[in-house]
Amino acid sequence: MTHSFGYSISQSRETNWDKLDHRFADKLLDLEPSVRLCVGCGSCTGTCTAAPRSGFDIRKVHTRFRRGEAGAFVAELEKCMFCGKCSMVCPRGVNIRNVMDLMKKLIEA
Amino acid sequence: MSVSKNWKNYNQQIPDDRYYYARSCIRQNFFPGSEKTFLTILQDLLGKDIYDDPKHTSCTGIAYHSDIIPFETMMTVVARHFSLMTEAGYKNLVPSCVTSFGLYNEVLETWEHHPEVETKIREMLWKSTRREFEKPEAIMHASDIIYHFRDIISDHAQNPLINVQTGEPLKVVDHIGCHYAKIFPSKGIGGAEFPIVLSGMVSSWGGQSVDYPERRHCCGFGFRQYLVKANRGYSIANSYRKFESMAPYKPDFIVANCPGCAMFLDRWQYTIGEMKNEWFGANGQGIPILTYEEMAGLVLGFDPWAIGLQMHQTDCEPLLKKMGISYDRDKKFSLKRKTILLNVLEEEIQ
Amino acid sequence: MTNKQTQFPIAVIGSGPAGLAAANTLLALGHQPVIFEKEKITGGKLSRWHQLFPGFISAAEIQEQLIGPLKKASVKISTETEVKTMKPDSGGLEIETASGEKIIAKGAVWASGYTEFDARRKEEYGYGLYKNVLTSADVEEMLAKDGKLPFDSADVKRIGILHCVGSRDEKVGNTYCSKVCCICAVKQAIEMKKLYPSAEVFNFYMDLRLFGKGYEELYREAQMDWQVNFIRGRVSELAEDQQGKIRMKTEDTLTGVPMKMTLDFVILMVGMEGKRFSFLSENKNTDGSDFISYPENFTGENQTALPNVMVAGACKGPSTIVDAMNDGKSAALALHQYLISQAEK
Repeated sequence: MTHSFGYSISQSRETNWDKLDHRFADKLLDLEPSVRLCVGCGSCTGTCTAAPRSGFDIRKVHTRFRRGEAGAFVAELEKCMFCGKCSMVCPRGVNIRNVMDLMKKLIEA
Repeated sequence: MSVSKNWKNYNQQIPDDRYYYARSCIRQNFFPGSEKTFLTILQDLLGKDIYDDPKHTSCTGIAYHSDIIPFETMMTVVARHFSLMTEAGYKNLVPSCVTSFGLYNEVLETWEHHPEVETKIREMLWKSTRREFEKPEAIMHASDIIYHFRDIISDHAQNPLINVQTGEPLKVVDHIGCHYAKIFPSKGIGGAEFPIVLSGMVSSWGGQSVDYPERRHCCGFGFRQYLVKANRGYSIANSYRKFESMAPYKPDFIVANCPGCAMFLDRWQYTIGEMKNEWFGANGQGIPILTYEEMAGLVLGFDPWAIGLQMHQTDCEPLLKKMGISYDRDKKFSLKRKTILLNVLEEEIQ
Repeated sequence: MTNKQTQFPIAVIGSGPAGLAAANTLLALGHQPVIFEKEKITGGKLSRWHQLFPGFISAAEIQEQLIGPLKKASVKISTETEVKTMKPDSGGLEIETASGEKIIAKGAVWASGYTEFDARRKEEYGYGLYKNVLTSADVEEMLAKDGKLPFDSADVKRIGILHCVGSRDEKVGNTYCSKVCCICAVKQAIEMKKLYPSAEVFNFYMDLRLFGKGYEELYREAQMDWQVNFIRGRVSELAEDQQGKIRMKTEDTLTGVPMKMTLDFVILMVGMEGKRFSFLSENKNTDGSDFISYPENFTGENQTALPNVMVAGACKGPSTIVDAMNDGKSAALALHQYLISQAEK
């Protein structure tokens, strides 16, 4: 039996690599290896049709997905309109549209 | 540019004698035997001149760090402390509390960079109390003094930090107060970077100091973090993080030099236990936590109840057994006992 | 102290890449260089390295290329001879060694190199305390010597490589960039993947400064072909756990979240530090470093306070081996031109 004193122990929001599930991320990297080339420049988010009005940040979403936090972004993924502008501007040739598609499929599967 | 960061920059010259003691407000409630133990060690064992001034007040640190009183008010109160010290004829200021230690240094540092602030505070003090003062020549925390005399204490040790059942050194984890080690790291012994003030005592007295990953993490006390109930979950989460980190090392006890840290690492163990049903220490009995004075007192053979161990929430008795210290359980909460502490008190009353 | 005075044509101080390149150039220009080396062995830091970025060329091979022609021409290399000071002399230049020996030379090329940052000064990384924390220099030496590191591949799951240790860090007094560590970190990351194919390698960086030819390509190769993970965030602290593994804390700044991770071993990319020699230059560097300052005027970058002493290589500031060698050649040429102009007078 546990007791409450009117407050609870705050949960940590840090990324704990040791405890995260990296299976989705590994699968994504297998299917679309070009995502490894991301340098975090932000071109994709800058040009994103959905970003200015929805707060959707494609760069952060796929970076966190790769860190092993796949589940946290289900709602975020719905904001993408698959217009593909992100892929057009990427200086490293990452097929971001496909990354987006794969993330959705992996989570849904 | 050579801002060289090395141990030499953190090794303070500690004056050998003539100290002006500044008590802590909260320690006298939380761990009431600690300060008396410190004075007893300095006066009776080491024969030092240390003045315990009854006119001294709180340094206002808690209120200051909680944004309750303004900077100028705090500085004026601190200026009055300096004035009391000047009046008593001392130059070496020894605060018992790490927050006072940080505060005194902060005031002096501010005055050094902004002499006009010092002038203003001198005026304010004069207008409010007709007092004047000289600035302290040295400020050292009381744990610095014990560290300084650790080898003499070791020579008088009756109960070294050794497990009498196994003959092994006791495993000790330390926690150094943030306001001691992180505000002005170079004004203490080793700062947060080379934390040796407590581990130096431990190894000098026969124990084994254990390094653990979250050694430098805050104990979770904070001021605003704890005082506001809505923030308390944040406070306890930080203590939990420390316990989680130290527990695998199976420490025999924790030693701290900060009033808040000792208090919170002691009390929160019970709270976490109640909240999560997760109990630390051997058989879930908790990891005892000692102030450095209590640790010194036990080493020197003082009566555990005279140095105030009955005031701890986490039971210290298993530790006393490990150290082979005999104690009278019936007298644990007896106020009528004749102890060093009360003897001294009675003498003072007479 | 001996009063023995020997007439030498030209002195080269330091037998690292810059000094050796300078000696080769002087030789080609018809001079008789004599090399003074403080250490027991020649080659400077190059003698300790394994493979060089970006092409993984063996360091020993490059050193042989530099030293071979000198040996052939019987150029004298005095090892364990530290030059203490130099001053103008009627014969050109009086060089005094640490043992008190005095030598007269026509001129000199000063190429004393850099000092590695002592990683113990970043006490939060526990170098010297935790056995699983190495420096980039340790790794090079171990690989050059044995071709392997003292970790069993079955135990190694994760390796961390920390950029900017002792560089771009006001807390240790070094505000400048050491230039070569980023690319060296990329190179060592690939070497780690070759040694430990099943391990994950993480490079923690603030910025990646991959300026040289082939560097950016090597970075791409590391990401794509070797699956090296690059995480933008300066590591704030390391701590050892009970198994001797290393607990790392940083911010993953690309996601804006604090991150922690357990690593089996860690490599600290140590930066470069300089040393001042007042007889070469009294000026201070604008970045506050102790490297030898030189006129930053595009054309006189090898000059010192002494007209017949030219300075070259990493003693002037962080430098790659190629740049140090080119600077050594440039210094040799500048000295040659100076001596010709003096002879014409």
